[in-house]
Amino acid sequence: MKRLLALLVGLLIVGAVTNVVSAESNREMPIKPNEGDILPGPFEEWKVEYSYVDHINYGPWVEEVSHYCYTESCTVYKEITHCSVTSLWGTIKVPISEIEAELGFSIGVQDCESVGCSATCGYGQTVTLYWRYKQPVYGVVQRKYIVDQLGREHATDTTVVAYARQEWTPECESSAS
Amino acid sequence: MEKFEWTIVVVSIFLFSALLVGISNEKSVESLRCSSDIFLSEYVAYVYASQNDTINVPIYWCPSKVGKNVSIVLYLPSFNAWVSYNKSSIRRSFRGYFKLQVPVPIMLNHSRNIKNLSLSILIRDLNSEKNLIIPFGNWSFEISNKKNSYELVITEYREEVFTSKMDTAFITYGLGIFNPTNTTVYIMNLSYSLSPSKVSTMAVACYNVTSISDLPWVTKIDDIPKDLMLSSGGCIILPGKRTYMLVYMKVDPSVRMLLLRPKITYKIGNRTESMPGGTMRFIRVPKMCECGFR
Repeated sequence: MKRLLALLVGLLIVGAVTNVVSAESNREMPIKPNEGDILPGPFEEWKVEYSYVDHINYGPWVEEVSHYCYTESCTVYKEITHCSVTSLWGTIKVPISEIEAELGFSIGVQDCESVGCSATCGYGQTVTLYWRYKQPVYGVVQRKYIVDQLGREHATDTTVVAYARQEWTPECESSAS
Repeated sequence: MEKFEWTIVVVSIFLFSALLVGISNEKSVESLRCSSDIFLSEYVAYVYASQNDTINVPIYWCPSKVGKNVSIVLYLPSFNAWVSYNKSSIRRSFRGYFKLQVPVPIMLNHSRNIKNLSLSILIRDLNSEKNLIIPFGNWSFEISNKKNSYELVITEYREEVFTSKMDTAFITYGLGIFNPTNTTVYIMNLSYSLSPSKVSTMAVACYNVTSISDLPWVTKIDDIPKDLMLSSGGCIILPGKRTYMLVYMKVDPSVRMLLLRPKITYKIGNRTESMPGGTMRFIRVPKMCECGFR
């Protein structure tokens, strides 16, 4: 009986701890200070405001496949793959994990990217698929905020940009004539 | 004593069950986020294009809980264009959303505004199939008489801008233009035909830099030196040289998604010509997508 009791109490403790951790991980808003609370500060905080990607073209379009359509509707599909390594530089004020979440890829890893190129055309048309490499360069615009002693955030005019790069990536285009 | 111990056992079981219910409730908050498919697809768009041009227009998908064998077909009835994706060809993009490109063949022979375009979507999983019709937005097409060959080459351009901000946004569109001809070219304007109350140009400037990454992120108009502002004489590109242009724009909060393929007007010799710029999208994404494939 005592063993059963100990087991149940143990389960109770494990359950309580899990619940606290679960609640912690699902919390979205930080705890706001109560009115009148005096916090250390003022201190600065940085937030991502914009993220963007610039497209840099390399080389001319290369014809991959050309297809004349004998039926009512045709589809041409070609998959082009390239392996790439990602990197990060510039002014980085927010955690790298936050930048990775904004951009949708991890920094400092090699991954292979495939792009499926497809085009449709109608009877009597010729559809041509072209491809070339592009280099996406990402910018993450971070703005500085001042958090005062009452926990209020004040946006400043100061912004900095962190840059991330994926190496060459295939892209495709098609034309029908 | 035995009765007391049984009471403790019963109370413990009750408390433990209550805790389990608490945990499962927390998880249901998480799963709620992925309980339905969310698409970002409703553009306000201006496209300058030639007849028979095709542009790829991405939509962004935060999926509900679908399996790894998912496939998705996108069909744009107004342009009779479709594309299909399977799991391996779908990649995560900004803010966790999956990016799906819709090819839009511009089979128009004159300029046209098309309102309330819609996109049909078929999502197939092992045991289920879903048909959705989602808004694709309001599009303004300006058709150039020229075929696809242009004298100038767009070497770099800003392709996508994302923000979580839902208020008035100030964004920059940049591009690099190379002049392969042996005649000096003057870029007179970068323009688009959209309601100024929705999207307006605050400034256009010419920069002599070596890469698009050297263009500044402008947060206020004073960030652009006055001598770089586009003058009435245009922005000069010498033969065999490249220049960079920056358009500083204001976007109204009502515009959640903007697609812009601007018209570049330039003078070469005694001719005035025009050509399309690179296509830029501006997307507001208030919440991260944390959903994925099982």
